[in-house]
Amino acid sequence: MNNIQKQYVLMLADNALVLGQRMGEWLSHAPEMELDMAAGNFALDMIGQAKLFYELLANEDGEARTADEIAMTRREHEYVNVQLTEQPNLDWGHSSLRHYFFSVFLRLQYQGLENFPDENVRAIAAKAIKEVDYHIRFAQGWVIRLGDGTAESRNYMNAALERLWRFTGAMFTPSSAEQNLIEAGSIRPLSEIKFAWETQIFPVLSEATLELPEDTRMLLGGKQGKHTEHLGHILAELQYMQRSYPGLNW
Amino acid sequence: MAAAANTDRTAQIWEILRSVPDPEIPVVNIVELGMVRAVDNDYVVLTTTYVGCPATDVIFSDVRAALSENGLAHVRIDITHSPAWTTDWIEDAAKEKLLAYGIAPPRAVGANDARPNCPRCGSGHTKLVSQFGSTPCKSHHKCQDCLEPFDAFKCH
Repeated sequence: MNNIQKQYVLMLADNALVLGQRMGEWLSHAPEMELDMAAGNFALDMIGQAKLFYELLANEDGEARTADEIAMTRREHEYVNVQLTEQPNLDWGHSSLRHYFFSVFLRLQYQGLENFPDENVRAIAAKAIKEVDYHIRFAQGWVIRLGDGTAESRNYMNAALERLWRFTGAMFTPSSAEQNLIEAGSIRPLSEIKFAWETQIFPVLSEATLELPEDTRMLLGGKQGKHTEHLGHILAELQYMQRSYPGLNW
Repeated sequence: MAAAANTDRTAQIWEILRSVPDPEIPVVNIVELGMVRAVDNDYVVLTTTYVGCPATDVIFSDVRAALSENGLAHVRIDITHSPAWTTDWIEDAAKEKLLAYGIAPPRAVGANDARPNCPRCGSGHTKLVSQFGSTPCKSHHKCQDCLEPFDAFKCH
């Protein structure tokens, strides 16, 4: 892979790692046992995807750094995940909406890798799509159930939408690596992905009786290493073991 | 002669791999689950079920141990992700074993898997409790007739 392709794969990995870590935080805290298991499964799938991408990057660089080192010893501004993935859990509705927005995007993003030059990346994406399908089905169910639920649950969902919507635009705003890959025909244009994403989520938000906030200024920067204050806290926990015991293995 | 020896060796490796159980569902082995994609006299190619399945590392070390015990420590273990594993690769005999073990086996991919038949009484009158069960590959259900809670293999 060339450097641009590697930068792109790093973004795929970071998104999956950070969202996986967030979902993992629900373990033993979710409102119901079944939700606890669902969140745990989400985390496993996401971290599993991240692991494969990091291993691929480690391998590409001749194992100069291990996958663990790439995943867990970089500094905050070196992470290129979108800010949506690092937003705190707050409540189940908020987490469901975050996961729904990102999973619908992720499926489209992975589907759009059919012409990616590296066959391993294509293979990982194709395999992961099947898992992401479950995530979408599950998260979508909760968005509708809570949005179109009681007055109380609807308030929570509207608050979640108000908080999260501003982070969605970054998914569709190409980084320079993405711009390059789009021009090379290696990934699907983000404008097309945005259109497909909106086509899928608008009817669901409408069924959930939720209304989009107006005049939202989209917050960008995650792909350039600019993050909200939440990522640092995630990294403090995530990196603790590798920082304290460098090279630690299971 | 060499070709015949290779065939014997390959058959022996297949046999050894059939002795490696799935760590979470020990009633089935990794060959009948469709995780072994190719075998030659000096390498085997495995695939994973779900990318984050925690059983993966255990399966790899079990395969390594089984080969070593049979004097085949030199056999290389490769991993492939493409084509992606599907429950359609699970052998019919393994589906029978799953059923006897209390896990509703997967239907063909594309079939509606919301209401698997109860593995205990066979009733189709079941309900989904949780799309995510005790392992990544299973969902959790309850039989409305005999009231048995049970896991079902997700169509994947």
